[in-house]
Amino acid sequence: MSENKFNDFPEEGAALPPEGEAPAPLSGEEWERLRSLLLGREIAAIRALRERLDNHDLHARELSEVVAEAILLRTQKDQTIEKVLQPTVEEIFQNNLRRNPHQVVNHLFPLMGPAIRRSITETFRSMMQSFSRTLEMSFSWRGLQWRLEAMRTGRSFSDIVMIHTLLYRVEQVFLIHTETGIVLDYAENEGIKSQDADLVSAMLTAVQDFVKDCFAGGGQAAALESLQMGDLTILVERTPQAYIACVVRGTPPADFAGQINTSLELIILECAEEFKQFAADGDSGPFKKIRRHLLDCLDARYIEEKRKAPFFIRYLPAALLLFLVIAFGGLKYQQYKYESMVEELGRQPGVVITAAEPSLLGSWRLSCLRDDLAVDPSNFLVEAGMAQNRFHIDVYSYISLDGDIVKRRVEEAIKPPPGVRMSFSDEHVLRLSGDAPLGWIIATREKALTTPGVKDVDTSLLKDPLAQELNQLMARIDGTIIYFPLNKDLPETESAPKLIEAVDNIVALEKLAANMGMGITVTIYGHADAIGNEKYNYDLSQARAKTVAAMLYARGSSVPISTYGMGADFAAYEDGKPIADPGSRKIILKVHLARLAAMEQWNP
Amino acid sequence: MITKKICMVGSFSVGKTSLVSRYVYSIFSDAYLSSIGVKISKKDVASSKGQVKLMVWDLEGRDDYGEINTTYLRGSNGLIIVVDGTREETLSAALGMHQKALNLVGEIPFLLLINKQDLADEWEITPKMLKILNEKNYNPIFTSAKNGLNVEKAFKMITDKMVTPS
Ligand SMILES: Nc1nc2c(ncn2[C@@H]2O[C@H](COP(=O)(O)OP(=O)(O)O)[C@@H](O)[C@H]2O)c(=O)[nH]1
Ligand SMILES: [Mg+2]
Repeated sequence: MSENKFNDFPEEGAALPPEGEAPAPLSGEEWERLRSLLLGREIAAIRALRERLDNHDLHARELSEVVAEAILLRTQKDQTIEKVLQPTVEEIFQNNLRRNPHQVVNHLFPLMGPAIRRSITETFRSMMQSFSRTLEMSFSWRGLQWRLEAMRTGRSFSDIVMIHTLLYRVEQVFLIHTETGIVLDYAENEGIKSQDADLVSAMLTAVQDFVKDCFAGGGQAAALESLQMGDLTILVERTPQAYIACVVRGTPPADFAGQINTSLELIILECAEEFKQFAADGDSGPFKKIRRHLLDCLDARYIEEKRKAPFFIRYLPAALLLFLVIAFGGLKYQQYKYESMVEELGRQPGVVITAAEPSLLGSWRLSCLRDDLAVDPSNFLVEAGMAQNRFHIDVYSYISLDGDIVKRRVEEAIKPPPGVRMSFSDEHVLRLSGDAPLGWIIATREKALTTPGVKDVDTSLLKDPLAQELNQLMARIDGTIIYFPLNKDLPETESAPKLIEAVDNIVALEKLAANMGMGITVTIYGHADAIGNEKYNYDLSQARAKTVAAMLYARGSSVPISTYGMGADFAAYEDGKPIADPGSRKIILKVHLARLAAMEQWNP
Repeated sequence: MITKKICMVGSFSVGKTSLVSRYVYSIFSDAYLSSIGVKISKKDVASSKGQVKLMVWDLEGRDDYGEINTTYLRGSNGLIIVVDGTREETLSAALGMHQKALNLVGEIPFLLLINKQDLADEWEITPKMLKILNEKNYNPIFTSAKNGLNVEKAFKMITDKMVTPS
């Protein structure tokens, strides 16, 4: 075999078989020289090759160069390698696990622990939510108690449920730099109302320093491990570089500190570089990467709902109670309702309840006084919701002086036309305002004043638009003076226009007043000067008044006119002697308004 | 976010708390000062290296003779030393405290504030003292917690000193 030719190579010093006719046999020495001349290099190579084949280390080194590629090539081709290795690997793993289980767990835990814990937390959380929802709608005895408690304390129902079902919940986790008290990272549970994490962690550090200073003379051994206030606990786990503080509501399990410690150690391991860097630049940013370890500490456990008793037994007491409450409450409520209806009836204006007795069965015997203008008591009760057969009522009439009723009464009496506003004060004074005919105003005053319950009537704000015109006309007429010549009963010619104007005004006034349901009367006073005897002067003054009256009639006036001769009673004297004074020869006109039967049209 | 811890040191009543409480955010009441001797506030300061969060520890002086609470100084990145310009003795006390702090936390950036600058009438710090301070590289700054003089500036200066190591 050609591969084996190296092995067949003759040993040093062995003779070769002679080939044909050899010139002369070579001595061993010569042979040796020749051989080294011819084969010197190959011999060295062969020696090296042999050495290589014999040397295991060299083998291994060479194999190591290619083993990975070889495995890769083979795996691409088939699965032999996997099959060949599998039993071995399994055996190794099992042996290892048997021999040193802790080590394996330690290696796996950092990977699996957090994942498992997180999934448990999630499950609990969602369980809790649905549990709370169920309770929220149920009427279990405990649910009722909690509901009452929620009402009493003003907290939300789910809060109360949480308080009662919560074993513990980690609300906040701080990772704090031990030396400076600066917070490196922070995590909190959902729905936590937290204070500023920077300030809280710094203060927490200060408080710990303070406690250490006060009680332990600064020894590390006496470091604060937990702070407690109410159902809140702050648990602290520390290393020289950093510490974790967990704010826990409720009572955490005994191994919880261990859990925190695991997280803390993982953080210290992972962040060796970051701690160095932080000491230099104070940048807490890089610590964000360990947030997951803090989240692992945000654990919570709730009391599990025990569902032992069958449904109806657990809810029976509550159902019974509810029934009683509803039944009794219903009765009480109806009684209360009727009572308040009767009270309400008594509060109606113009109604006075003089007797009200409920019977045992809940029907009422009533008697009351009622003004004609007040509500009908029976109707009132029925409309309020009291069944007709639940009451009997005796009603007696009376005249109420209740403000509301008096107001209704006076309103009905005067029937204010559109344009008139009325108000009725608490002092029972009727105030009218707006526009109304004077006749109505006068008539209404009278009626209102005679309505029972009205103390006074104020019409000062009531205006008759026509009345103003009337007043103006009257003012123009009133006091008109017409002068007469000496000893004549015909007016001076100069005063004719004045006289005509006065007459025209009187005619106009007469018409206007008639429209308003009023009439006018005119009075004419005649005067004379003091010259002449008394009788003569009386006659003269009378004649003057009559002349003017005749002139009024002649111009179409039909007003009643009274004439008076005043003689020289108002004439002027000088030094006690009568003088011929032109200013004393005159008549003076006066008009008066009078109510006519016609004005009754305003108030049939 | 870069976070730094600084301590306010100085004698009783020089104005440390006033300097802090009017210009810095806190959720704690001053009652903490008398109870545990420190009140912590925080302040965001824009520095040459970007926004820096200052955790300001206001230490209640235990007495007037340069004694300071060393525990709270631990880990401090900077010091604000406060002197009352109207009371000369608070200056020597302040220098004493600075020395003690140096022994404890090493050479950290500091700033010397001479406070109550608004009280010119009662002023006691002489130009001669100021000259000595400047020679010793204390470079004091006059402040007033009452009218706000240089307060913001002081917080910015100490921050800049801390983020740019000399
Ligand atoms: N006029 C003036 N009074 C100040 C000033 N700073 C502080 N004070 C007053 O000095 C007193 C002591 O201040 P406080 O801040 O409690 O000093 P602390 O003991 O150093 O904290 C208080 O009455 C302050 O109102 C200042 O700048 N001007
Ligand atoms: Mg103070």
